[in-house]
Amino acid sequence: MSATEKKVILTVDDLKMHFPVKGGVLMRTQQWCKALDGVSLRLNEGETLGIVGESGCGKSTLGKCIVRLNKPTAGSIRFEGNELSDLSQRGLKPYRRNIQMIFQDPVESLNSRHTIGNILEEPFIIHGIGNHQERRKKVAELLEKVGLPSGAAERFPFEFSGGQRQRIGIARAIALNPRLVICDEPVSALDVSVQSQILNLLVDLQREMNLSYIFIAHNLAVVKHISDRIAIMYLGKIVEMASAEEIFRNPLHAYTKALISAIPIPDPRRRKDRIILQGDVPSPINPPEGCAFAQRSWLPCPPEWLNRPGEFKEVAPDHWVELHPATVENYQQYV
Amino acid sequence: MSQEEAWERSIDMLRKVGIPAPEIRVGEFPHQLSGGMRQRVVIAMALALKPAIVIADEPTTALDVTIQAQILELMKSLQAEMGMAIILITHDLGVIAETCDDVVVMYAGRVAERGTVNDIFENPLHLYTRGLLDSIPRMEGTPKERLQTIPGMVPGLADLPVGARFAPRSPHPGAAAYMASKEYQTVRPELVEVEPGHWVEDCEVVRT
Ligand SMILES: Nc1ncnc2c1ncn2[C@@H]1O[C@H](COP(=O)(O)OP(=O)(O)OP(=O)(O)O)[C@@H](O)[C@H]1O
Ligand SMILES: [Mg+2]
Repeated sequence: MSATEKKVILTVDDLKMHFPVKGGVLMRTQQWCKALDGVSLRLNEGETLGIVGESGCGKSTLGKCIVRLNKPTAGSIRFEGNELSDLSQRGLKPYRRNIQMIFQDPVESLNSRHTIGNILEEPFIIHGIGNHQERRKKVAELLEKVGLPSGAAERFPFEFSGGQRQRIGIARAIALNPRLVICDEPVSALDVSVQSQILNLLVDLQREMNLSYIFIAHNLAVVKHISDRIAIMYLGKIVEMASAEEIFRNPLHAYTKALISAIPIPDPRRRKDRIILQGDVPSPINPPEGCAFAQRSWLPCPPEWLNRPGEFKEVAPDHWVELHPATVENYQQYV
Repeated sequence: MSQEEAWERSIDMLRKVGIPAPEIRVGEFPHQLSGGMRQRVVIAMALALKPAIVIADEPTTALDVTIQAQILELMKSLQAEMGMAIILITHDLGVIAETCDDVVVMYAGRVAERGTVNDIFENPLHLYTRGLLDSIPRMEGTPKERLQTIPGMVPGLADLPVGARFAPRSPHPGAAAYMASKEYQTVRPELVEVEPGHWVEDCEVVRT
């Protein structure tokens, strides 16, 4: 199937999430943390969209908005054509089972006083599926699917290693046959041999269940491995988005270039020249007026552009980038 | 140091580790920060008192690679300035390759192999080290291709053998016989120095 024929499962349009914070000397002034400040993206069925970006740029917030753990301040989230952004908890119920999230720290997200069997049975109970016996059978099937022994059902989370706990987190996320799974740094805490097992599992499940993933991570080799398309975020916005291949072959945004140049290569003889970015990461509390990256970029910014934001534009088929003199070399050629 | 000075120093340290708007952040609570920002705060706390040894346990795991590069540079420059030793504990073989002089590879509570960073990456002698190097996704790899894994699981801490702990996962043809032997029940393998400064667990079935 060609890219144009693929079915779009998720569309996010100009999404904003502004958190109230206290600031000032006496912590009295009301300010806003603009964790997401106009994010737009599209995800096709069966596809993985990787999300990379500076810590604090809003990746988890984006994930939490899509599963509606956060209620966005503005913008639209359409899942299979249905608008989710302003639904109430009750209105969301039919969608909850279709959109699931896996967290970096499976320990924190698992209730330590419940057995694995109880934890995995819970989603079926909440959605009123099957009787006890049928649910137990489903739990056994789930355990097998994620490569855990059937005896695991009787045991408690603390009895498992990090990798196994992540398998439990995955089992719970896929229990109700979701369409979309947000994976928020699912392998960041695992050692590399366990990481490769979990990545293999996620790829297998995607093929088997035709899952769509949003995959958040800092390790670019991991993101490149699992993603069909990649979005690069900076300070509450997506600044570049293209196919995984294109992002690495033809990065256009200065931040993307800096990221790629900073990838640590597991080969001590290949120490490389880095673009080490200077300056502070701007804060999402009172973010800069114009282009957020301008003050850290090595590209010159003409004075008339200082307070002007860039424009997120499709500069080649399915290759989007924030166009601004400080972000894209020879930006005029794309205008 | 007065309380005001300590407050000012805290703001300085937060700025040094790359926290934006440190004057505001210093008055916030941990849950208001992103995961990566919390990690930077911890690094600031560890470096504030200029210690002789820093044990950095996964110091940059939650950070994006540009900040990771900055933090590692920061730790290196503080090291050059103050001469402190750094023990860097990490899963990230790329970070090790780029920042460390010497490497210790541990498996199930014991040292499997030890050497210079070049020894470990270019001439791994332990099957566990080899397994780790083989299982990382590489930038030049094919997307979604099956990654290599190390068969089996890390043994539980309750049923650790006296002998080589990696043996149950070893593809070596002699592994089964070794595990059936009395040696496996009674003899803990020593580390041997195979070449100057390069040590490995002295047990044939877990060596490359
Ligand atoms: N509940 C909240 N209240 C106030 N501010 C918040 C809240 N949740 C997140 N933030 C702020 O929103 C911004 C984005 O946070 P988020 O956790 O989405 O970052 P992230 O990209 O996932 O970072 P990391 O890579 O470190 O996990 C941060 O500045 C954070 O402090
Ligand atoms: Mg996060």
